[in-house]
Amino acid sequence: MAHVELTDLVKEFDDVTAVDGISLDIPDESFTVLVGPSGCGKTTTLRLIAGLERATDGEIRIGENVVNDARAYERDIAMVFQNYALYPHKTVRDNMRFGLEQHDTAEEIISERVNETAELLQIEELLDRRPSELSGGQQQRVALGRAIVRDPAVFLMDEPLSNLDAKLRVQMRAELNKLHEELSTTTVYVTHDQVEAMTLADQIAVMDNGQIQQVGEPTHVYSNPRNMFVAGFLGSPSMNFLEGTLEESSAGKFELDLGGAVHNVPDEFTDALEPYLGDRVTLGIRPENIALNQDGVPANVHPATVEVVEPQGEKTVLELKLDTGQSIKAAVDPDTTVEMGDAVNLRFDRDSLQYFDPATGKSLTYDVKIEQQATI
Amino acid sequence: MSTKKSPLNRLRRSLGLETQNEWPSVARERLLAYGLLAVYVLIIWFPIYYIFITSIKPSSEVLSLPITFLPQSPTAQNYVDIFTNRPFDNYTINSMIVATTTTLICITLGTVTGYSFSRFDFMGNKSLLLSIVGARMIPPIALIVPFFQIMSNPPLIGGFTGSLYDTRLALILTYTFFNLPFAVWIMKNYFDGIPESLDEQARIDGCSRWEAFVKIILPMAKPGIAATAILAFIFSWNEFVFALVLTSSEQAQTLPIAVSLFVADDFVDWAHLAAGGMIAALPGILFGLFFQQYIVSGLTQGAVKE
Repeated sequence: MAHVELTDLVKEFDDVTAVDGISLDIPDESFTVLVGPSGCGKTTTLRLIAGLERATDGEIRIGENVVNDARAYERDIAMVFQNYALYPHKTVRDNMRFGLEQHDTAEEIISERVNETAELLQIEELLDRRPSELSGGQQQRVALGRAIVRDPAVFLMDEPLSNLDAKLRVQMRAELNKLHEELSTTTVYVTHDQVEAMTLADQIAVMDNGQIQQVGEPTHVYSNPRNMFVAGFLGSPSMNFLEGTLEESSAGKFELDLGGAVHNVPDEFTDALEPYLGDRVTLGIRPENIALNQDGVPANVHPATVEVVEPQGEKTVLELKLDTGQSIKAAVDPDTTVEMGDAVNLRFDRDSLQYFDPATGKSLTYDVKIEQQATI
Repeated sequence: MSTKKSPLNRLRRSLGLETQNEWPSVARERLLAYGLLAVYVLIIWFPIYYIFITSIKPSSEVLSLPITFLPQSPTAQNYVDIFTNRPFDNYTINSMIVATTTTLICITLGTVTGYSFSRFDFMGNKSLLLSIVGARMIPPIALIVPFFQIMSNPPLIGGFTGSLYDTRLALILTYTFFNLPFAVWIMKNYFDGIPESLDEQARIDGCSRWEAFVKIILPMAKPGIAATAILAFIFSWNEFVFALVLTSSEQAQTLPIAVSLFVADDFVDWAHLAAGGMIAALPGILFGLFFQQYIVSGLTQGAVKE
């Protein structure tokens, strides 16, 4: 077991900077997920930790040791690759034995560990088969088993579930959760799938452009994004952004002119938004925080027209056009009876509103919200 | 039908005849295809058959007319003759040594070099690979004079002052020159088809780069190595022009030269030539039949993405 610490880590390839000075603390026994769109540097970061790439600058620490110059096999890590990378000419048993044999482990210990791990993953009956004789899900288990059998300080997983079909992916996700519960090995997991990230992680690190945008507990990051990238990346369908000009009403209240309609800014954000009076400000609201109008709520009701109705079972996603011309998505109760072309009134949940600087993408209300949550 | 497995029924099924009194157009098409294939097989095997029957005819029968397609008095005398009257054992040994050594050098250097080109992103690797393969594009005949001169007066390396003319080494060097680029090219493409994550997994499992290559990647590359080996072997076994120019005696001459020696200015010893030809052809055919299962997969690996 070990914690992993990255400090100002940089990796440049020829003229591309894949990892641009990231610092991240991965606590012992944690399940940390690096998530981001493809090309954001998450896989490169994982490969730097694994020792498959050499850092251009910065420091990688596993446990107490700086491992920048250590070879992959000296780092006491095990990795699960997206394509599993099972040795096709070896049986499942020999695939699992290989790493232990390379480390000169005693024969009794090898067979004991292989059998234990096979039992844990319920792949005992597959031990004498070759990878080509296994289904995708079984190959995935063997790849996991090959990592577990080594009993390493850190597991590194590079999109291990993305080659599985949807149903199996959900099932394996639950199993990974259970396995981590059981083994408590520090895990660094890379994925572009935000659902996977949210469900698996104790700690999530959202990456973009080679930099970490935000680190934290998944639900915290989801509800309190530091910038528009994080806000838009997490959540499906993703957060709605409406841009307008911030103005002060005659009553001294702040309001956002959305180009025809007016959105009232809750009072608690007045201080934070004051410097932006007269400037463009982006309002962020998640689809599930939008309700179709109930009568008797005067503020923040926005008339809109239903354009598309997508029933998804547990919720129904509506694509709507605000009367101001902006498009917006809402996730509503599946019992809601609306049809294309219906005129509706939308109400934004005031506790879920976020405001961003459209130029920098930075959240303007992050600090206020954190303070609020601390006092509750 | 009661006799489902009879050869007649199998034939009927491959002709697309499921019921008895039916000659649909599909059957005619298949018959035509079988017919054409049969003609093609006859055409390619006829010369080999003819050499074989010539090799077991007495010299008197070879030139007599009308031509006999079944030997009237088959004999092994021609084979005995070429090993007793001529040093065919020497020629065979020369061919064996030259072809085997060339093949070994090519697959050894070809796999290591191909792997490097496939996996390592070193400066100038693309242009180096192109120049290696490009050298092979030059028609061999254009290089015959420089090869003759270099082998006759080799550059002074390590104090060596002799001539390589009429040695097996000259042929081995020459054939390696022509085959190694192919070997590198085929092996490079083969290794490209093996995911790099396997090397990486091996490195994480405790291998050095070299161990990952030897323990994991090389065993997976067997079909590619077999394909490379057979191409190098058959080229070296059959090569004629350079062997003719670079050798002059039985100490280095190979089977193709030996066979040609039955052609004199005013007379061709067809019967013995045919026997020599059979001896020369046999190892290539056996080698090819044995390794052909690997050739196709070796040559097409990496061409199709799985």
